[in-house]
Amino acid sequence: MNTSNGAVIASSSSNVPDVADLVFDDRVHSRIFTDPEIFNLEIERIFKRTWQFALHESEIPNAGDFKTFELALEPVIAVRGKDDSIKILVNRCRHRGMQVCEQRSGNASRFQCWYHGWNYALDGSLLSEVDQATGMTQDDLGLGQLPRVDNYRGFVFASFAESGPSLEEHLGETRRFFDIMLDYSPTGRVRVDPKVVHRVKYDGNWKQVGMDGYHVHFVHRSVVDIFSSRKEGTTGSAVGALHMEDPWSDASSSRARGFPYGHAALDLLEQRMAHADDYLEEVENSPGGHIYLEKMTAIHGRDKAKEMIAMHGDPHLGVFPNLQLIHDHLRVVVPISASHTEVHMYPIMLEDVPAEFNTARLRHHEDFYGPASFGSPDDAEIFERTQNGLMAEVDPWIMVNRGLGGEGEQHESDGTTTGNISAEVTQRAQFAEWRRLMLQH
Amino acid sequence: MTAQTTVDSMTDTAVSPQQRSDLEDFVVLEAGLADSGRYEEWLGLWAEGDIEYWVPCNSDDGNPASSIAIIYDDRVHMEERIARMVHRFAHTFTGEDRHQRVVGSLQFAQQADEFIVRSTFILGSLHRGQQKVWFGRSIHRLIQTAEGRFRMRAKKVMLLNNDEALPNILFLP
Repeated sequence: MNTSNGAVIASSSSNVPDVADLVFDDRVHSRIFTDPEIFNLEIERIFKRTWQFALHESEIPNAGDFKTFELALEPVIAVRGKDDSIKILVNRCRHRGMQVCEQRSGNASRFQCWYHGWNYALDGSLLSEVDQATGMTQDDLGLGQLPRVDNYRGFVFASFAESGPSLEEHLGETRRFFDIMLDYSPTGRVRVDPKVVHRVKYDGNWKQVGMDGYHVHFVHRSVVDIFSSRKEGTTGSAVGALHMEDPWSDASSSRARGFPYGHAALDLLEQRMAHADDYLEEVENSPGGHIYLEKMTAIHGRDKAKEMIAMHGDPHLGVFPNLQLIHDHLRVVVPISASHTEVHMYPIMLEDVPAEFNTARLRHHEDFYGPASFGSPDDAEIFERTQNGLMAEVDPWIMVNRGLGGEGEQHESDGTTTGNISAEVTQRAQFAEWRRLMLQH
Repeated sequence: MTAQTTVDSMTDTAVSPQQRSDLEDFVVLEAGLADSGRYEEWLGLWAEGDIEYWVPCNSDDGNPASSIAIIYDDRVHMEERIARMVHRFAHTFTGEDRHQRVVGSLQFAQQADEFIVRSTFILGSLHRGQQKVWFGRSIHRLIQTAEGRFRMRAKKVMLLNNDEALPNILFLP
């Protein structure tokens, strides 16, 4: 078992505990956050089975564009082919295993391994001659690739598993939340730049990130205080998105929402729409905002445009296991070990808006997100201290029962479950899917 | 060969020895105030009028209009930053952290009314029992007040690892 500074101490049990005993509706065992063997099982049963977010298609727009990263700890290359398709290739030479592509992103006509010079085409097929004496042919030795790659309106997902629910089935009702972010852009498309990203890391487990409506008043209290003195007409619970009333209060119309397949959302939409006129005025007076409003009104009509401006294009959605769409960015959760995680936050640029409108989004993003921002460092700090606390096994159960079965809990007709914003509906949804996948073997 | 042709093009011999000494004292003072948490005094080292505090992200250059930064502060945002670093509910800042940097490789130049100081640093940052080491280089743009004091008009800090995954930045770069 690893401590937070990397030292290894002997585990009290050499057996992997039965996963079925570790997750219940109202509580989960802390070992699922701290045990390296469970982490390895998660890689096999969750990350190598279900749909994972890979990248946004706008990161590799042209033939030959590529980006390298890790999925389920494996090095991969996302590449745009000459036929305009996107493939997720395994970044490992079929000869002796060398990583074929070294750059983080760029454009290439082919991939060359620098060990023995083997060349691969953009679709992964081997171009180099194979020694006839081996009895193998080029067809035997193309780069591995993830068998399923699919796309929802530009968000590219991939799966290591050859079969399973379709992406459409997997995303389900979350798609209308994706739509909220996408339709905030006049063209319905957004742009992500692989070279414009905040990457942060913390010594804690990947399952800690995001979708918690309960923590904001406490963890982000300093930000609430500071933002309060910023502008008239906001309560200071702005926390990165200017709010006209406190959306993190159970008295508000905000809802914590859980979906099938482990997705979760902090649904602030209704609460925002109640203040649509204020949001409209705020955008009208912002840099480039007047032109943006004109475009949106021309496309959607005044009423619909007002609704969309109120929602700010912020779905506040977590797509299990590794994607979150929050405020002005898309966030990728990268599990590295049971006690180490990276989080990559890519600002979302809108298409066909004045440049200064996008620039303002960048500055708002920096306010709350990033290693020297006012918001996310407090989250990372809390995650690290939690990882320390979880080393204590005197009572190993983590409570996720807030709001369970209470008055505020509702089962909606669309298959989602909602509760007050501070209810742990979101955690319960995530752990239900965790349990489902971990028990399949 | 004259002395000027052997001088590094980034150092301007028009900056006098006394000015070089005073500029170095300023940069060392600024680093010391930042590292010892004397943030209000550090704020006092900035010039009046428009100022810029920039710690780029992903590359040492880039355009803040189209890319994000680790820090990109004007005065208002800088004052908010300091307010947060001393805020009793900003959990990241425990009040027990220790920071210490070494500033070196100083080079001096003068352009119009500004003195430019380029320097490098190694910084140790201690937080909850873990010590992390940071590297970077800085560009200070300073003006001189009527009383002859130096004040910062702009500071740009290029962290060596600004394109890598970063832990919380608990010091003032």
